[in-house]
Amino acid sequence: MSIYYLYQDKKKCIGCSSCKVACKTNKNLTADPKPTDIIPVGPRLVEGQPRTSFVFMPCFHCENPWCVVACPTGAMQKRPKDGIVFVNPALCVGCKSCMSACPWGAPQWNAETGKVVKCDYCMERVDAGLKPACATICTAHCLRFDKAADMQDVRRERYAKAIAEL
Amino acid sequence: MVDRELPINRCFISGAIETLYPCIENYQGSERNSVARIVRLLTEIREGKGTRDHLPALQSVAETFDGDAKQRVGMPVLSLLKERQEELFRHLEEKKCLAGTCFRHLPAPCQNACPAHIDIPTFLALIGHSRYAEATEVILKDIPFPWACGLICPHPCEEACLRGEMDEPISIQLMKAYTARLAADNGGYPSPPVAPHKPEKVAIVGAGPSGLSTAYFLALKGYGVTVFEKLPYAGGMLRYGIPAYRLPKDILDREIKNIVDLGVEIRTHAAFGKDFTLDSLKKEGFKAFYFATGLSLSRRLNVPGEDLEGVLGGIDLLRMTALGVPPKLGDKVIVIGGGNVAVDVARTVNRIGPKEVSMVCLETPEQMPAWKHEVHDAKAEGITIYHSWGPRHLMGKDGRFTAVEFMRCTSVFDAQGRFNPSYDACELTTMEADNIILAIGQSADSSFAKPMNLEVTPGGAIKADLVTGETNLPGVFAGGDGVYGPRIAIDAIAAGKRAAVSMDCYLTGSEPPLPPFEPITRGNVDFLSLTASEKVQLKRSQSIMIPLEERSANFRQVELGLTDHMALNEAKRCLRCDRCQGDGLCQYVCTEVGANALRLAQTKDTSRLAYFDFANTREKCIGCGSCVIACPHGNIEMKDEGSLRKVSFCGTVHSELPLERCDLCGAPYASTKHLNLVKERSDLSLGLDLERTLCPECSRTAAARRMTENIVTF
Repeated sequence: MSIYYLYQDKKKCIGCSSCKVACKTNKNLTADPKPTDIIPVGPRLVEGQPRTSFVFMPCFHCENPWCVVACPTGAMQKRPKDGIVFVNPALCVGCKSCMSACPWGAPQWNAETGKVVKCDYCMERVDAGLKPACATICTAHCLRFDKAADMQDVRRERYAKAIAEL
Repeated sequence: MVDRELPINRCFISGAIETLYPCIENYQGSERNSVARIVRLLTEIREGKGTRDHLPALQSVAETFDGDAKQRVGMPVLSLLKERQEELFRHLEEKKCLAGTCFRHLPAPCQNACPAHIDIPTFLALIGHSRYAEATEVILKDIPFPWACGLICPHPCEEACLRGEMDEPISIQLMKAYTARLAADNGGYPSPPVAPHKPEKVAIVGAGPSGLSTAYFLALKGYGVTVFEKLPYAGGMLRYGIPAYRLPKDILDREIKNIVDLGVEIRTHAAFGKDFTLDSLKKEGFKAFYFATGLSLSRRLNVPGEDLEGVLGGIDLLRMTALGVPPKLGDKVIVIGGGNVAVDVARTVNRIGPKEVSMVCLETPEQMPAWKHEVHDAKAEGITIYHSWGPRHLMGKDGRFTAVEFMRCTSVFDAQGRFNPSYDACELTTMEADNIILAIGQSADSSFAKPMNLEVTPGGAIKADLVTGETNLPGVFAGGDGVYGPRIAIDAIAAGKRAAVSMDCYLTGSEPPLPPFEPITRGNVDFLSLTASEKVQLKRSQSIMIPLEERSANFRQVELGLTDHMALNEAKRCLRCDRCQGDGLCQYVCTEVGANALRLAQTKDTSRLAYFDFANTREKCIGCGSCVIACPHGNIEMKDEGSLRKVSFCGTVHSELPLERCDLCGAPYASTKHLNLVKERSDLSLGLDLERTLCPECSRTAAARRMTENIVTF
């Protein structure tokens, strides 16, 4: 895994897709490629109420990424300093091997450039001390990005609060 | 501001690509992929597809090499990146190449080789689509004689044809005759667009291929054109030099009529210097003049006895025959010469009476300049050819030719390769005959030039610029054989076409085009669909010939050309070099992907590669589609049909691969071969075996579902 953690608080997410739009805008993409996506799951009954979950699906920046070993040209790489998995567009020839390899469908096809594009945590922003576009724009403040080591686990806090209220 | 940078012959990027290309084959595995990647990145810069990421990418790939590859590939590339940084930036940022050799669309080798630059691949493809009128229209954009050229052109285009490196060249010449015949028989040639009428009148002296071509192109530009011809009919050497069994006169008449129909006036029986002069033309209101006077005299041998009765010039014999008054000849005739005209003369003589026709030439069979197939036909028609003999003197009795003495020719060319025969005067032979015909070349009759102060060379050729046709006199242009000596008809046509451009510039006072007279692409015709095995197996078609027994004592057309079936096959054989630039990008990405399925070949045209090896592709293609993306010209197509993925290169389907379909949405997402390769690379190396039955999009959706299954809602 990368040294970062991009956490989605599903309880807060309202499925507005701002994250998706900000991501595409930052990467200057057309309609089809979605380096991150909000997948609605449901509705289903939770405690008698119909509920839909909005699942934030970026790249998980695996420890041993399938896409990197599948890439024949070395375009798909894992950045040694922080573990971000990214594509070097000059090396990508558009064979789509990474897309077939990834179990989560993270690498996306950019028909405009004939190359793959994927979530790289907005590397340039991260390097400039900013947060990824998605986490910056998130209207419901449900996306949190930080180094994993510094991350407060909201679920743990929330669980503790729930116990305390009992 | 004028760009004062000196032009260089070739860009260093092209040089590097050519040097590195053969290295790909020298390495295996990841090194091979990396060399291909370097060549690909350089080629993308050359083709104008370079980005700011290209230089760092080149740097990082070049740094990965070790050992031999480091010496031969890595180091040279790194030093190139260092020393040529500024020029590389100009290529990337300004799309500017000092040598002017990058960012160019190359004309097909055949089009480039044709002196008149006919867009050959385009008209071949149109024939393949049965669009004959359009095919003829394409040819008519560059020459006015599609049919005549289709019958007689020595086709320098076929020498350049890259299919010739795979097996044999396309029968380009016969394809022209084929489409012209169909167009003529189905309502005539399409009428080319004519520009609005211009007031200036132009005079052309000489109604041969060059003069008539100038007339045609100037008439299309809207000028009033008059062509003056001293002989009774227009056509020049096409009529008087080429026998009717090769170019039937009615075909020539039809093509000349098309020029006349554009408003061109042809005045025959009008000899320059006798019936009219430059001054009389100027008085008549002509503003520009083109002299295409050709070579009307037979060259002399300069040996004793040349003035005997019974000695004839080759061109004179052909001209008299064409005029319908062939000379009276005895039973035994010798033709001197080894060129195409000599063969034409011998075959003509064979048709007008004599029983025994022999050719005697200086050259060995291999050196003979006449076309091989014409020589073959001449022999088949019963003509005997004697090689390596030169006439020493012509003997006669009572002023009439009776025999000729020959001496052995030991070599035709000197050490510098110039025509300079040497003889062995000890080895002699004598041949008796009733007539001897000298077909050893022609010379110009430029006696008209002196009175008007038109400059000529000591050899009698008109002095004119070979590109623009300008002479020492303002408004007077010249071209064709009369300027540059004996060449083929298409050269004369091209000279006429170029002169028309120059004369238009002269008359309108505009600057001539720079660079002048580049090949122009006349269309972007769809590919013909066929299979790779068809593409490979189709063989060059030969013209249908009339049987030998039907040829004697008549001037019937001997070569009847191609059948419909043959023409379609020839169109299918074309490699479409108008669309495929042979930049090799498809091959490089295929190597980078590790498939090594596309393997192009280096050709005699060093600026481009060509694709011949369909079998290797069929065996190794994984259907990933990288080549489709890499080709800057959209020549490679990948289509999913039913359970198969079909990949085609310039319309030729080389691979058909079984497809994987998504278990959820049913969409095809990868070929089985590609998916297995991905599994091999990723799963096996990670020690995990995933079942991959979903397309990438459904994989993501399914993963999202899984992640909510055991959700704890805190």
